[in-house]
Amino acid sequence: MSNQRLGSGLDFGLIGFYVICTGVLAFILLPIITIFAYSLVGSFDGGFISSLTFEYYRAALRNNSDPFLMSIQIAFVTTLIDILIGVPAGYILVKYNFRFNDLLRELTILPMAIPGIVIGIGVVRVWGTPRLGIDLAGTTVLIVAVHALFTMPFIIQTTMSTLESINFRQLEESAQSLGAGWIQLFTRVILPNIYNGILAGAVMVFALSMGEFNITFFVYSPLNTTLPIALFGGFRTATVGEASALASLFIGIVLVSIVCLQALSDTTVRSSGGNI
Amino acid sequence: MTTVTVDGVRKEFGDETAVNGVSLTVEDGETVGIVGPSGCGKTTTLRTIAGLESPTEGRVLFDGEDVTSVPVKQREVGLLFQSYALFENMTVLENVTFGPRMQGVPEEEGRERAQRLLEMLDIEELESRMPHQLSGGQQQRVGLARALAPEPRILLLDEPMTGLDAKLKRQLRSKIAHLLDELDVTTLYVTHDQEEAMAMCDRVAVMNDGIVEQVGTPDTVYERPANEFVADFIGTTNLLSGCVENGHIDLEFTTIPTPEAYDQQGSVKVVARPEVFSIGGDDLQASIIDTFYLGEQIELLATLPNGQEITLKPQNNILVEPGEKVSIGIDTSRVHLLEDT
Repeated sequence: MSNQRLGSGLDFGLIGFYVICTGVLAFILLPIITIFAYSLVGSFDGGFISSLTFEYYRAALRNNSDPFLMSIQIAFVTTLIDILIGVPAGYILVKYNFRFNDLLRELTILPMAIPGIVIGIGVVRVWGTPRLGIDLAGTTVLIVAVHALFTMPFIIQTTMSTLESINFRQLEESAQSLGAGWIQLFTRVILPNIYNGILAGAVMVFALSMGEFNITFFVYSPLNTTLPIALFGGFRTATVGEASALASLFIGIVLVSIVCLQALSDTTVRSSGGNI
Repeated sequence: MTTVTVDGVRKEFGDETAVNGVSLTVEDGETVGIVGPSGCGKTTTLRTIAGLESPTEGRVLFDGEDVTSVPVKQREVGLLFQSYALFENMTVLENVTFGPRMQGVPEEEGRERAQRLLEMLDIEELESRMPHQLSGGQQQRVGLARALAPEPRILLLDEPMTGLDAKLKRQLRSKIAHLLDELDVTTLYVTHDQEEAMAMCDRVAVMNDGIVEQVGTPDTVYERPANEFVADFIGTTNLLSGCVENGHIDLEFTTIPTPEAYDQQGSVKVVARPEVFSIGGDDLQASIIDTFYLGEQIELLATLPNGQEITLKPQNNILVEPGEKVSIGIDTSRVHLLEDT
């Protein structure tokens, strides 16, 4: 019945749906398009076409190469730490039924749920001065640590849901009955089957770490400024064009991450025969 | 191959007793089926033999040797689950050679073994496919080949046919039965489908509520069930109450002679399978409530004079209409009596 209605004449519900979609999309995209436009012309005082230039991109890259590299390094190390800790953690949480398992599962979501500012203030309160003989204030180690803390839930969650989707328990039991020890079991059976899920989680973590501002703002020092911090500073001090160019580059990085993520989840679906 | 004995196994999960003292022997080369309703403990029994569960009490013996504490990895059992659990990251051949590889069998020999098994199962042309490219029936056979490739001491099948459609089930049933026969592998076959178990197995164990109600050949559990549960679970059964006196069973509305083997007196339950009835006899009167045309057979639902409903599959396919009153004969040599307790 509803299919017939779609085919015959005007469907006001459908039109309304498209109108709302267009509105929402415009609201989301307008700031991005505006920034992109500014990054190419600097200001709208002169003619648009005549003042088109890549000079702002050049300047942005020239003046921000340090934060840019810093962010990429931090994101890379954060991702690595997340995989090394988060994947085994997710595996243990799914596989073993121990006391407080449910509580721990909920705890892993906590860093996602607590506002970044709150975590930031807390971290500064704790590590702003040397404690236990360790002085972390203003170090890159502290930035990596808070990034890992903030992004860990995502890798744990994707690991857990991927494991559950592949029916890993029976895979393990089959492999064991065929004589596989736990190392062979993990490296030859479990890991190859959750590889795509982990990779998808890793890409997400990388993008999140690249874009993290709230907590980083409390713990960075001028020596380890990250890209989002530089961006924030740029809009206050540098020219509009340069700051916009930097922001556009940033959006580019996030877009690439999302495309990777999409491609990965597509192959996950395909390799499992669509039976997720 | 191996004779596998389960000796007084009990398994508790917290407060739940899943298996409550099961003893069962699967002889060398034999195929034994465990059937029973869900939650009867059949899968737990299988998992205990595999070493995936350790029993709360009791032992598992392979050829008289206690393997209760031997881990799965060293127990040399072949496992096939309902979901097949194929390794999605490996080709069919890699799946099948996984076991031999884990056991350190030379590559060449492992591959030959795998190819021979795939050939016996008529899927040799699929060896380089990935599991997700296979149909359910093909996946099941790959799973079976994978379980058999390491030459296990016992093959454990947990509901291996449940995901397949009826026609495929019937084809695979004979193919697999034939293969198990040829390889002469000791097999435990767990299923909720009693018909499947009867067709595939040398002996059938009927489980209920954590215990084994009866073990016997398919025709024994069908023709001479040990108790009401078995009679009811295996096939369709009409249970009639009666009283034996001097070689006759008094069913209140009629009297029939007792089967020859029965020499006791007193009240009994008469196990009458639907096919012991024939239309046109003179043992009792019944009125037809409903008829089901099943193709090769007609199934009738009828009420006896005392109001009880019975199911009939008369061997002589006479068409009757619902509402008709018919006289029915009972082949008394094929009824089975249970002492009424």
